[in-house]
Amino acid sequence: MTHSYRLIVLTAVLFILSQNIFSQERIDTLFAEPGGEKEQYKLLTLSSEKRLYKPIESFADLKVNRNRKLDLLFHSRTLDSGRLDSSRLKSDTIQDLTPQQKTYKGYESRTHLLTSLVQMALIEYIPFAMAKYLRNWEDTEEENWTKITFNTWKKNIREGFEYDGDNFLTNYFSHPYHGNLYFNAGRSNGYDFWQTSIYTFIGSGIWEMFAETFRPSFNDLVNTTVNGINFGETLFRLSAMVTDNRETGFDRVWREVVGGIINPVRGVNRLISGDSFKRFDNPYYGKQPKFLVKFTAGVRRLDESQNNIGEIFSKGSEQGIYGIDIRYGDIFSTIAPFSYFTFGAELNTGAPQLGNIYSSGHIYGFTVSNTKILKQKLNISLDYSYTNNPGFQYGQTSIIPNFLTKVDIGKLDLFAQIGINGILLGGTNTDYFVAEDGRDYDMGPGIGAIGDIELMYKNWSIVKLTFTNGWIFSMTEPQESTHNLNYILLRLTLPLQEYFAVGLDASIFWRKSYYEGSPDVKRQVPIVKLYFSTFL
Amino acid sequence: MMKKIIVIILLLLSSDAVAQNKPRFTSIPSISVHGVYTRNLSDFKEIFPNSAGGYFTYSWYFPTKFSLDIRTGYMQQSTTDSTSGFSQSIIPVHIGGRYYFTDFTKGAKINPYVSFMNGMNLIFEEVEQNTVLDTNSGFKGRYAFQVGTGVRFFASKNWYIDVNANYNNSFYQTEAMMTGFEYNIGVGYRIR
Repeated sequence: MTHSYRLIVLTAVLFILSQNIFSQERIDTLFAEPGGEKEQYKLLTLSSEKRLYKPIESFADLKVNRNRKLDLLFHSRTLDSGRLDSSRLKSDTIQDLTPQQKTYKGYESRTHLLTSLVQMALIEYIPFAMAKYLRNWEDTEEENWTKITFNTWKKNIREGFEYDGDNFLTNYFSHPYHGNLYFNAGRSNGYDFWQTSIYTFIGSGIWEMFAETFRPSFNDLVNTTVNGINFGETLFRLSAMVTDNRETGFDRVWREVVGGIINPVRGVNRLISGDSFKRFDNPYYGKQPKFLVKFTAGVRRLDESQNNIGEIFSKGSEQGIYGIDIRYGDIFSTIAPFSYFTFGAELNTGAPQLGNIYSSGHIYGFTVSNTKILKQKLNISLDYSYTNNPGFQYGQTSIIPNFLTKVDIGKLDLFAQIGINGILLGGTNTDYFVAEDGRDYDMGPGIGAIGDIELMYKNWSIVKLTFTNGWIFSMTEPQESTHNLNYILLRLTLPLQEYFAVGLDASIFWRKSYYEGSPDVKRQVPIVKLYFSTFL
Repeated sequence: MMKKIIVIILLLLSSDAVAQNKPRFTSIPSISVHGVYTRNLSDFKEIFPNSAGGYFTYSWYFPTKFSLDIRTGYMQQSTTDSTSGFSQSIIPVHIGGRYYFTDFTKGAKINPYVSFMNGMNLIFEEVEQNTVLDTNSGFKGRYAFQVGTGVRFFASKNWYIDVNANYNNSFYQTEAMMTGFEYNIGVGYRIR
C-alpha cells in the first residue's frame, strides 16, 4: 500500500515535471536529419503544445517557444555530412545579441594554466584540511592518515602501490567524484579532453603519494583517474547544457546555480571570470541538439537471499526506485570524445540508497556504414558502473570496443551492439573476507563480453535485451580468487503518450566465484522493476 | 575455417570500415632504442639492488603534442653476494603515451614531456637458493606501470636523442613491490 501510494504521488510528480518546466528542452530536442525533401534536410521538433514529434517542412513552421524566440535554427549546409557534430551545432543563436556580445569569447575558450594549478592544489588541500582539522581523530579507531611528513612521503615512494581496504562506496563513487574535480580544474580552465586527462592522473597520484600516511592505493589511482575523466567530461557537458549564456533574469540565475551544482569547479570559474553575468553565445558543447533526460519512478523487487535458485517471490523484498537517465548526442555522428554519452543514476528507498550510477562515453570510432537504412560503427567507449543493492555489489571501470548497428525498419529502429568488456578494475562481493576498513569485495582487472539488442520507437526502447559478462581476476587479499559475473536484462516499455510510458524490467545477476583454498560459491539475484518514465 | 576468417578480416579491412570516416589527423611514426638502468627501492632492493637492459619502442606522434608508444625489451636484475643464487630477467610489454610541451612539427627541436607507460612484465626467475622471497624458479606475468619525465633533442630532421627518468611500480608481490627509479637514454628516428 505504501508503495502504491508512493507510485501515485510519483506519477503525478513525473507528469508535472514533463510539462514545460525546462524550456531549454523544447529547443534541445530539436534535431536535424539529412535527406528530407526540402532544402536537403528536414527538421523534427517537439511541438510545445502537443508534445509530439512531427516533421517540419521549413523554418517558417517552427513556432515560437513559450516565452522567447526560437533561436536555435540550424544552417542547412552543416547538416549534409552528418559527421562533425560540432559544426552541426553551429546555430543562428546570436541574432539578439549586441555586436560586442556576439564577438565575446567565454572564459573556457582560452587556457588558464595558473588558475588551473591553483584550483587543483585547492582540490587536494580542502578535503585534506577538513580531515586534519575538523575531524576528531581521538574518537575514532581509525589511524590518523593526515599526519604526513617527509618520511611518510619517502616510505610511500619506496614501498609503492597496494590495493586498499576501503568500503565500496568510497572506492567506486567518492574517488571517481573527486577525480571529476581534478578533471574540471583543467577542463573548465580551457584545456581539452586529452590534456585534462593528465590533470586527473597527476591530481590522483599526488593525493595517493603525498596526502595520506598510508601506502598509495592502486585501485584509488585507477578509479579516481579513469572514472574521474569519465565523470568529469560528462558533468562538464551536462553543466554546459544547463547554463545558458544568452539568458537573463531568473532563468539565468537558476541555470547558473544548477550548472554550478552539477559542476562546482566550472561554476566557480564562471563566477570569478564574470561569465555568469555576461551575455554571449553558448559554446558548442552546450548546444547538443540530441539531448534527452528521462525520469523514472517505481518499485523494485529483489531476492536478497542470494541462494542458488532465486526465490524472488517468496524471499524477495520491495523498494521504491527513482531514476534519471541522460543521453547526449548521436553515437553515429560523433568524433570528439564524449560527444556522445549516456549517464544515469538510481536512488532507492531502502539501504543502500545509492543503488546505481553509470556513465558511458564515446572515445573513438570508425563509421562502417552510414546510409538512411543502415548505420554501423566500430566504437570504443569508456565505461563506469556502480551497482550496490542488498543482493550484490558490482563496480566496473572499463574500456569497451564494440560494434554498433542501427537499422531503420519503418516506424521502428533496431539497435544492436556487441563488444569486448575490457575491465581495468572490477569489484564484486567476496564470500570469505571483510577488511577492517569495510572492504567486503574483491578487486582486479578482467575481461568479458557485452551484447545488446533493442527495438526503438522514437526515443523509447520498447523491447531491450542486454547481456553483460565479466571475468574478474582478484588482486586483493586474502586469497587468490576469480569471479565470473553475468547479468541479463529484459526491458519492456509501453509508451502511453509520446513522453510518458510504463516499463517493466526483469533481470538476473549471477556469479560463480572460484577461491583458492576455500569452496567455490554460486550466487543468483533476480530483480524485477515496474515503473513509470517520462522525458523532460 | 582459417581461410574464411582471413577472408572476412581482409574484406573488413578493404571495406569502408577503415577508410570512410577516418578522423582528420595523421600520425607520425618513429622508432627508438634506449639503454635502461634501474635503481630498485624498498624490500626488493635487498635482493636486486639494480637492473640494466634496453627498450625498443615504436611511437606514433599525434599532432598536437601527444604520442602513443608501444615497447618491449630485456632487463637483467643484478644480485648481491647473499642473493647470488637467485636470478631474474624481465621482458616488458608496455603501452602508453607521452604529452610533449612543445611540438616538433612546428620546429621545436627540444621537446620536454611527461609520460605514462603500463603493461605486463614477463618475469623469468631461476632460484637456486632463496630465503628472502616466497618464490620458485619459473615464469610470472605481473602488471607494471611507470610515470616519468624526459626531454627529446632533435639533432636533425629525423634523428633525435631521448633522455628520461621514471618511477616504476610492478606488482611483484603485495609486500615486495618492484618499485624503482629508472633512467633511460636512447636514440630515435622519425620515419616520416
